[in-house]
Amino acid sequence: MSLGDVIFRLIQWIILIYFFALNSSYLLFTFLSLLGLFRYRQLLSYIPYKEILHLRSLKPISIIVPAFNEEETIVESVHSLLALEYPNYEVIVVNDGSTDKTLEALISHFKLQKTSRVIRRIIKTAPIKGIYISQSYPKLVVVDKVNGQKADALNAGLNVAQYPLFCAIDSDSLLDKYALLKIVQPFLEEPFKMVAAGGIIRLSNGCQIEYGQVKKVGFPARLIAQLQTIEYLRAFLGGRTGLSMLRILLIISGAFGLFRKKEVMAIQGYRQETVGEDMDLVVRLQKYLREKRIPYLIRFIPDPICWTEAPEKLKSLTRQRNRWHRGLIESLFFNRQMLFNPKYGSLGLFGMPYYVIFEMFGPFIEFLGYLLFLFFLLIGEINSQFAIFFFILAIIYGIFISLFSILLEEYSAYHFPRYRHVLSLMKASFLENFVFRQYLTLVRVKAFFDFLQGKKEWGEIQRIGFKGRQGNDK
Amino acid sequence: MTTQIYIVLYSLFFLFGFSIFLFSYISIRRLIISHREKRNQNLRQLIESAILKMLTSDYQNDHQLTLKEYVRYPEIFTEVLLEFWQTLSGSSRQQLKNIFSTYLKEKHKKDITSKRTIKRAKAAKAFVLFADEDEAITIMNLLQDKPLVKMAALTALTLNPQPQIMKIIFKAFIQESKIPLRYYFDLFTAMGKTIEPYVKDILHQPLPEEKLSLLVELIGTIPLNFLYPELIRLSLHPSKEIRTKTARTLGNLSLPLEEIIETLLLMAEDEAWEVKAQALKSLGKLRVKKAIPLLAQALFSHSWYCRLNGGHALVRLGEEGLEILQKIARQKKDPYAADMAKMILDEIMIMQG
Repeated sequence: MSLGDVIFRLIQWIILIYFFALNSSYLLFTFLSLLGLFRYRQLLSYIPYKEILHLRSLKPISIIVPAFNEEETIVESVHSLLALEYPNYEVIVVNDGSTDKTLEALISHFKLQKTSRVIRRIIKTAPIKGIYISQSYPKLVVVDKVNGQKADALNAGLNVAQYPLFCAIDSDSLLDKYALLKIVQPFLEEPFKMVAAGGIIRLSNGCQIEYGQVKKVGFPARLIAQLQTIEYLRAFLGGRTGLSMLRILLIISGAFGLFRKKEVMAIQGYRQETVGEDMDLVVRLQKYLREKRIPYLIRFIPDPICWTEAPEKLKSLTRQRNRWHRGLIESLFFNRQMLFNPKYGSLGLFGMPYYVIFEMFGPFIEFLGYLLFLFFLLIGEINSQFAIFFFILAIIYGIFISLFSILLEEYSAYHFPRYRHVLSLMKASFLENFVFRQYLTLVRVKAFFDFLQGKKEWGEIQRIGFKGRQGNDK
Repeated sequence: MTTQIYIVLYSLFFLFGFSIFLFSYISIRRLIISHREKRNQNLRQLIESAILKMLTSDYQNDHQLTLKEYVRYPEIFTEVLLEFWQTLSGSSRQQLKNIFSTYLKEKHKKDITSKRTIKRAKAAKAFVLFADEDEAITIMNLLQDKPLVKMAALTALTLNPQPQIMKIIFKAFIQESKIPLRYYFDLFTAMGKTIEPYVKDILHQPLPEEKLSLLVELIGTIPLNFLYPELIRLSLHPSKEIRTKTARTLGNLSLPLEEIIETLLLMAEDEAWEVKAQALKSLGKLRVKKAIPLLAQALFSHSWYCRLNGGHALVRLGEEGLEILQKIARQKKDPYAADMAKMILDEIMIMQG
């Protein structure tokens, strides 16, 4: 056997083993998620979340909303946040040097007045130009600052926040009315250990939205959003529930997460040099707590919903996924000393390696797999019968995992009301395996090179906005 | 065909089969659930009207047969009964208890010994409202159960606050190591002032800091005013956390007694800034005029929280306090004190129009 043959066989085996390992880990997480969701559902049937509203031991929450050029949506977003069901909270909107009329819209609509509030600058941020409060909306605080990216805006919000728990959300997202009551539940169960909890992000595309609340859940009309729906279900319900159960959860989405402020302040808040500040925060938080030997818990809760709009233009989706992947690589790179380090327990030995091998390098190996497959097929080194069957197998494995995610969706919130929505989800889980998946793999491969080149830009994402959402019954 | 192809085909066959199974399961489950929902909605309406008729009719025996039909649906029956309990009061509740005893008690008694935790917890919850006194022993056995069932049982017991039962609940609190203590906090808060003698009793027992801290907070939340001497004793506790909570609770009691004021004045000089800041806040809450010099001095403190709480406390003291704040805002020796005073004055002007 020549050296070329040995290398060829080795690569073949690596790709095959990788394929099965990746899909099996997804399957394992999905199984775990099913167990976790089942338990969570049973618990909910015993303790209704609305009862939590009357508990005296509820801790107040500061909601921090960084906003940059959001003049179209900011008023509605803030209104929806001010109408949440929670006994004691404040909403801190941080206008991060918007160049449009975001601040003016807030000032005029909420009748804000500038105050000379003194804040503790525990975390360094770009200069704050002014802090505004309103007599009519006492829960609302608006911070106007010099532009400094999202992480900087969040840190400014942290400096202003006065409550022990804080919830970071995106200004273009909408929280379900009871989302805070649901996400705070683990903090009631484990008040000393719980440091962070993440909720589920669902797509608002196709939903009917009125007064900042989703009135009717619908299914997106455009295929690109439908394909993302199944992706989100798989990532949140299938992935994060399982990772959280294994205690190796490294991401709490920046769009919706609840944190204990004390620990976040201790690590100087969000890192400003990354576009993946949400993942980086969770990784550093765990690193800090493990180094200090402080017992902690980080949980993903499948019920509290944050609605966000998925990009419906390919260009926007490409930018978003490029940024996400760069964020992931940056977070892993900045905290690389945790990798395979037994000092960080399961996180260092399993969590970080999992993210590096399957999430960071995953697109590379998948892309390489496609290339080699085609190459060897062309030169006749692979049996064409085997190639076809293997390709079908790969697709069916993907569909199988997606179907499991749909089952998880059925068990969790039962949020797609019509049977035809479920059928559309099933259709999407089939279609995503052709072109869409391969395209996103390519986007992520490019993101790796962008990271190497030191690209830091966020990339604008074109959105329709919630006002434009009249819902559809597709 | 090679072995590799066989393996792939074999896997394909199984995965395909599983996928078809999943697809069918999801579809059939959907259909069953929507059918069940419709049925439950109808049943709920029927049970509601049957209970209503029984409660309002002079000839209750006539409706007993109708209700008996629904014993086959104990979950919905219990849910409807619990909803009625929340909306009704007085003698009607006794009638609901009778309905529970006649139709559901045996089923729930069985469930209490079930192997499924949720079933036991749910059964215990039903007993919360409908159990007779003689049932208390059955529930007490559940205190040795898993945390969830124990929580349900404890909730049940608190609705029957007899001295013997109260002792059991507080004993459970002292021995507790599994259930989050916050649960007891909510439970005790709901029980209100009835727990005063029991709290006093256990405050004299050696307790871990976490439990002691929770009791101190509880005294201020309910509030248990007669326990203020205990708080004065705890103001000298070696733990900073306990002293901080004691200072806060003394303010929450809203009792402007000389002993309390003197204690708070002393605590405002504590070595820990956390205790100081809380004591300053409480002095403001109690509107202690003689604390004005101390509060004004707090605005020049190194601690941001002491400056903030001192300033807010001055606002609570009315015009006299506001004048001092204005003076501090005008002075230029300490810009930190001036900024804090300005901020507080500013926000008062905005918030009070």
